[in-house]
Amino acid sequence: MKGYVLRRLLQFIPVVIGATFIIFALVFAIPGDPIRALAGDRPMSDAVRETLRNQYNLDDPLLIQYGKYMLALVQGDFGTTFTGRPVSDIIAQRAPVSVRLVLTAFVIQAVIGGIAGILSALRRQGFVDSLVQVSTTVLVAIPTLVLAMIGQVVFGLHLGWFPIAGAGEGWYSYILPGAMLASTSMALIARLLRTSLLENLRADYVRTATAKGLSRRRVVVRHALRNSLIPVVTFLGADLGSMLGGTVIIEGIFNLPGLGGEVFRAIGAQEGTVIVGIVTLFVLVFVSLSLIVDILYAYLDPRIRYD
Amino acid sequence: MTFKKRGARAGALVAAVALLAAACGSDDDGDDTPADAPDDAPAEVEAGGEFSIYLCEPQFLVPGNSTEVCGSAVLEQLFSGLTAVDYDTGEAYGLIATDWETDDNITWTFNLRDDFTFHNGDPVTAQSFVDTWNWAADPDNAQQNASFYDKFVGYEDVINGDADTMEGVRAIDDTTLEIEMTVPFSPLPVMLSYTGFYPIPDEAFDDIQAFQEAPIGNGRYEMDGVWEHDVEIAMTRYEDWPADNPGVADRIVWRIYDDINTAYLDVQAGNLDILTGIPPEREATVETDFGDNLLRAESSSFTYMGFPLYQEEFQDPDIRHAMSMAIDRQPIIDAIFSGARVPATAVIPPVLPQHRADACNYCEFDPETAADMYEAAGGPTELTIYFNSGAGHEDWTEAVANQWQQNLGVTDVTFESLEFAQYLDLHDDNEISGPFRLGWVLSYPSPQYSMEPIYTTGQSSNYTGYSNEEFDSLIAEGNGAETPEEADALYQQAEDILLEDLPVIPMWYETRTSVFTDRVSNVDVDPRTFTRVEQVQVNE
Repeated sequence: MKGYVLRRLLQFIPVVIGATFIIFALVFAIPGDPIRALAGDRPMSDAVRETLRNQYNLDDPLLIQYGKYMLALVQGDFGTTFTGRPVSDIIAQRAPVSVRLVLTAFVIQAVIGGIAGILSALRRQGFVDSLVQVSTTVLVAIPTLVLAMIGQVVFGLHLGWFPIAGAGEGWYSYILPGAMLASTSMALIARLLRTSLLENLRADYVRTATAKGLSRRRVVVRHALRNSLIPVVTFLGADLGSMLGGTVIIEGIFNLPGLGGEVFRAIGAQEGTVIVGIVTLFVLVFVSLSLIVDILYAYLDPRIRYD
Repeated sequence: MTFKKRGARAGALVAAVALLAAACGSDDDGDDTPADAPDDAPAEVEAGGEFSIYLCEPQFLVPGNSTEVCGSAVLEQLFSGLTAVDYDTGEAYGLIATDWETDDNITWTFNLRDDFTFHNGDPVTAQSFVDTWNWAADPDNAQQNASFYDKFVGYEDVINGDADTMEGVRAIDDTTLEIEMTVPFSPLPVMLSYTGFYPIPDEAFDDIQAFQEAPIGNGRYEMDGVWEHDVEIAMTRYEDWPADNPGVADRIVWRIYDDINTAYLDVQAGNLDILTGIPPEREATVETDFGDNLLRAESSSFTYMGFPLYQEEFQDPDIRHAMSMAIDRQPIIDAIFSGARVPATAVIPPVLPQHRADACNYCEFDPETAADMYEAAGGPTELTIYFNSGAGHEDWTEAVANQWQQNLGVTDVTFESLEFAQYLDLHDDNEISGPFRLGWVLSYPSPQYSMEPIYTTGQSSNYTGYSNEEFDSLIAEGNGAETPEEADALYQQAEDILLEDLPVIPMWYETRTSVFTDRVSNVDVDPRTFTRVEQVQVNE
């Protein structure tokens, strides 16, 4: 197991180098002078423009720019935005916001989706099952963007239960945006777990366990559910990664200053250093998550072994 | 939708100002006392309280570097300039300056008050201005407003590295500042009210990045804590501000939003007190949403369709006249902007007293004349229309194109929608082949600033490549005029030439809509689209 984890960790190195270079090259390929765009309709003087272009190495060829960036990066310098703000400051300020948002969403979708899935599997064709089936269909069908805007107007403006914007009220501020971000995945988890659990409840080993005289609760929780979780865990792992993408929309609508919104802004401003810094962070989170998911498999299913 | 709003902001960077012109010439004996400071606050205003107001994330909080509304709105509360503009009369009045004099519009002497201090206690002296401006002009410091100093003697030497300081900016003693211009420039006192001319204290020069996280200014309000990026900027009233009209509220919180739609909902819910510049799609329902808590203010924000005069097919002025007359502006404004624009009939904006509503002979909709003129002049039947993408220009440019197709017999229209950076590059390389959209907002309220930077030969914002010697010399004469009346007449003559040559089609001026809650009153928006936050009263 140790050797396996070590091998996987070593794989991070080429992944990070590859990801940074590809993103850097893509930003480099965007036409137009970002320093010009910074000034808007009224141009800045050529002298100022030259100073700024030099400062951000914009006149260097791609490989030199990338080399300078990586050299600074290994020394712990993430570079700055075109307005002179260190990228490390931005990440330090914004990462906690995104992490809280994603965690809130993650808990909501795992708990509510999980409970809904289990209940509808245990009471198949009953009222709860029908309710879950219908509501999940609706949730999956509505785009997150639309749902978030409706949720904001209904629960924020008209009912006044949750703040409309900002993170001023601590964790409470994250509940509404987190729920909106979680909506689609929550529905998918409920359906996934329902199907998986129904299948397992009909399996031979469950009948054996029941025949041995184990209680219904023990049969469901220890035997059927544990085996049914494998596809759900795979999904949750992959979903955490894709949720980072969803934060761009949700953070914008609920005015949460997180990483998603910053990446979006930086792409518009062609700020290579910011985009690379944050996206590389996303990539690292994603590969770490998939490693954790793989380790969890071994725990959930003893037949899976890594050597 | 989120995306569109961000784009709109990026495309509409600018600071601004708008109203009257030169308060100062050299009439009588050369000693020209400026207008008194206005008594802004109505008598019944009660000081105190706290309110919140919408803000977009500023690019910079250094006066020399802030060219957009987000930063300048905050800076003009944290800082005070030599002069300010009275938005009721439109005249420049002395703020730190008590008075000023000039004989030739070239050498100017400003007398300063001695009781202004920075928020750290340092006195504001003539030397503070000299140091700040020299520092900002130095290209190594990369200050975006540096080009505003380009008429000061010695600016070129500093830019070229031949001198460290501008020869034309001199502190005679603590309270006397002398400015020497390269050419006669009567709008100087008005220009000095602009953000880029505020003084900064000595300690700013040591580490400007650290400074802008909590700027130490000399204005009505001082920072309360630091600039919390993307969250808020809080300021409290500076009790040692010596002039007559201090801020009314005790504390102002600028809440930073990424998306104005969210801010709009927050005002509706009562979480945010003031939003200036509501989302265009809310114009239709804003009256039901807010009733009396609503203010519509005209602004100097000008949209135009420029012609690439370096292209053969737009050389004939009749083609340009016809294309302007073929546009029915009001229906486009009603349909696309819910009426929140004023059709342009001049290039000097209606918020300036020098504006003449009938200045343009070719801005009225007249499809028959336009069609005949266009045909006679051999106007092109294929057009490419250029605009920057993601900034809300898609709909109206299409409407304009439709009208050209209907009224001028244009058969083929192609749209080139480009990212702003790429768009400006095409302009620099003279690769634009058809009408293009651009805008202009006044940084200080002078007819000079509404024309000189965009239309005189060789200016950096002259994207059309327009060049007319007579126009250039009229602007120069206006800048050197002895009295404001003479200057205005000369600027208007220049405007007439411009509107005859029509290098751009004047489209419209923006009307800015503000909404607010019951908690505040006396909300006013000046023609630069800035809320006069220092006058806002909190009802409690």
